Amino acid sequence: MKKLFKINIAILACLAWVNPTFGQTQEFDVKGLKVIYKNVPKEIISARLFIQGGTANYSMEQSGIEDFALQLAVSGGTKNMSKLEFSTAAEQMSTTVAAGTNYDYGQINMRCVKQNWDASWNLFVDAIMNPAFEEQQYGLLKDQLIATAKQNDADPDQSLVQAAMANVFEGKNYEKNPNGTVESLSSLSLEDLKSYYNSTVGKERSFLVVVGDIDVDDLKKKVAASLAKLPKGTMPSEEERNMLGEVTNKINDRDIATNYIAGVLSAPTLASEDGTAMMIAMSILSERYFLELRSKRSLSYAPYSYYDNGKVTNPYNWIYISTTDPKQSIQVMVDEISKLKKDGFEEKELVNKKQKYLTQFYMGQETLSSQSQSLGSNELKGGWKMSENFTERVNAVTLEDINRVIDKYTDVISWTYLGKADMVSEEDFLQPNKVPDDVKLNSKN
Amino acid sequence: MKPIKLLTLGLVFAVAPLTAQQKLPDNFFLEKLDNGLEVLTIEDNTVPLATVEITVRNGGYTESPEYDGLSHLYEHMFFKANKDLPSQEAFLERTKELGIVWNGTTSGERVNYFLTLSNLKLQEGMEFMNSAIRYPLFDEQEMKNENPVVDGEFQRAESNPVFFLFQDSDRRMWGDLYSRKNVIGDHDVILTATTEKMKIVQGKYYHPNNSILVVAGDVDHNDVLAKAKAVFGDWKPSDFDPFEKYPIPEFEPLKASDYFITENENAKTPIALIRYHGPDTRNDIPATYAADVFSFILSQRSSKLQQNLIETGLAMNVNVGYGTNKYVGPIHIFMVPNPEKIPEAFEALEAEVAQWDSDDYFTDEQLETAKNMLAIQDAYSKEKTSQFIHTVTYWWSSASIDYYTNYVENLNKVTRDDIKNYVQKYIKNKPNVTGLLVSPAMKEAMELNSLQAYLKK
Repeated sequence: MKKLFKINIAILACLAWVNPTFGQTQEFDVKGLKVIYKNVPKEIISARLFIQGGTANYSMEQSGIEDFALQLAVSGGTKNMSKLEFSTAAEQMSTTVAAGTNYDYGQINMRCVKQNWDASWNLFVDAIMNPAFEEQQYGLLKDQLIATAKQNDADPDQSLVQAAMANVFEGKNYEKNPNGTVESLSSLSLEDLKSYYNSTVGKERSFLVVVGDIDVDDLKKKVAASLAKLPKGTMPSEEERNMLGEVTNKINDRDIATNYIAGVLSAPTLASEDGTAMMIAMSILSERYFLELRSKRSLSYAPYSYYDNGKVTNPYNWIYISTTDPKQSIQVMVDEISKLKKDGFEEKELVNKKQKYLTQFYMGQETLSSQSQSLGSNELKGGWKMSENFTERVNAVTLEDINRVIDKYTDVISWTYLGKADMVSEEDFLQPNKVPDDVKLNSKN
Repeated sequence: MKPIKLLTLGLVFAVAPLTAQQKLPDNFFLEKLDNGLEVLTIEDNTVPLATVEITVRNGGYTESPEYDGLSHLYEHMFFKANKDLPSQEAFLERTKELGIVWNGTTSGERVNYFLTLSNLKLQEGMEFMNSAIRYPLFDEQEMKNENPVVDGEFQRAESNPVFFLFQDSDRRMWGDLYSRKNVIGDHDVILTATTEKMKIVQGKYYHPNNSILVVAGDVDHNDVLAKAKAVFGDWKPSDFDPFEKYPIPEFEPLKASDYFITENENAKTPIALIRYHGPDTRNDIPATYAADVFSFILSQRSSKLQQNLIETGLAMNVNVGYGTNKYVGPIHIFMVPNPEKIPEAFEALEAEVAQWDSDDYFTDEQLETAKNMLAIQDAYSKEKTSQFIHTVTYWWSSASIDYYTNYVENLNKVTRDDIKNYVQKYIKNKPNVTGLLVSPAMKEAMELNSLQAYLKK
């Protein structure tokens, strides 16, 4: 590792700014493993191995097992390198090899400077192919993850998300907490983790995304000599979607300075004809919330709404507020939706929103890590090309589209409340007014 | 490429001689308008965007108790009515028309406002910024509306128990000058704030000669400078230096170590926080570099600290850091101890701190790795220009532009002796403030009445 040790500061000085970021993306197969590679002429490289399934891969009792197994793989040493040797090698190059998981997929990712690409790649694949899964490291990580789960529970925003998911998706995959609970993490054995890892990390349900400036043939050779040797494995089982058509409200009592409220509504998948329109509609609703709830009524610092298409298999719409006046806040949030169902959006809102999405799209292209994440997550949502034709999709959306979807997916809101329980009651959790079809026709044409 | 110009403010002057002859990176272009407004362009053609930021030397450090939190409230009022946009609705509408992504932040020694938009609309973006920074109306009704919003942000912070640990620590760290480090402020001060107070803040600090305009992205520096002159050139400067006219009082050094318990029923696991008064960029720049390198040594998995606290299972997480400030940067040790081994974790930590100035506490390899890590982290941060711009203005406020542009080079000069001096001057055997966050149930189970007595026991 010594030869890698001295980083050329002159190269670092111009790492990020001299070249445009847009490049060519291609997809190819290396012995059964799908690879998506985007050439961007920068001095940084980002690689991610996506593993499909997430919460579909394990039972409720095993909540957190994927996170635990992947974290242990990247931080607990390999069969070739002790934990210390591995971390020292990575730190000397400032290469990060990390893992993460969410509701629909897990991933192991790596970021390095191009100068250290070969050595960093070796660390990345060694962690994936040869994790040590050693007893002592398992014990240490378990205690750390339990401590993290406790801290997350003390954070009201994280606690609210978990409570809302458990409320709305009861009995479904999304009820499981991807980071695990104190109870589930405590019950997971090292054998459980090994078994999970070996049965899940396979070529069928995985794919690799690399963004950077490297030789494609060299990449193919590297993959053939390493990740292509993963077992074939299987695809995760599919679950029938929960279209969230029934109201389920939940009050969680916690004595805190303000109250946190989330409403969950149905939504289309991103790749469907309603997907992009839904994203725009909820984003405009969010701007209306800012104006009505924050600017005009001072009810909250943080009201917003968005279409959570990051939940790949069961996307939903999410409306949110933290407030000391929950009754009035819910009333306004619901009134705004009712108003849209009846009168629709204004053309100007759509035109402006498209302009803002263009800004946000380019901001998302600034780093190679965000580009590789976008390519991979879109691959799961319907194909990586959706990442690249984002602006075309946005530009194609019409006023009729956003009026249609805001009406179609907002009939039912399931509310979850975290805060002082005596400040709300069941009847405060309102629902939008449904609009008869003949009225819709009159008001939206 | 131009040599950096010396800043005129006396406070910054003290740091200038160290780096006065240094040069800026090739894509940095720094000028100063006749009214004292510094204009920095950072060219980066990665994406066709421009980010426009104005940073003002304002923030918590300028606040006496009756103004505690008002730098932050002022920041909120920036996004409201001004002479060209008569209401917040009109303001928001204009951001939508221009496709602007915008925000502002307030911290101890900086308030910044920034917007990102298409580089083709740079002119409109600069005019928009000009209207907001120079001509806020502080409409009485909008003020009344905004006070509870800012208070709502405060309440969100208070809903996380860790907030109280830091607040309790701050009160002990800064004593009578607590408001100077308490950015979030005081509920009563926020809720009773008036337009008159906003105008006082404006009159003291919101002047071109106390501000910097930074434009970053796919832009040309000559074009930026021309536009800056046209748009901001008639912004009238103040005839005083706010930090001479309204000097920031000096923080009293801690006289003795102080221990406290933060009890909060929503705490789920014990968390420890130990803090010291550290160096600052007015008085001890070499120590600020040593502090950053040393923090990165301690973060390495191979470090003795991580090996003896984390790998032994005594703690779940331990992190040491230093916040670079112009007025006493705090040094912190944040530790999540194993709930079953809290005294042992503290004892082991104390044993580590006692060795921090010994010759064999870290290896040459760890020292070099820390420097490389800092250099590469800096390079990674430059990848996202729309955020990197905030890093640059942070350094402008709390040190100087050339403090930052020479940062990596100066880190590379840090020696073992520099680190030893830093530890001996600021940490080892120095008074500190030590706190522990627990729930009432944990407190009872631990029979915890005095933290100091508990740790001695």
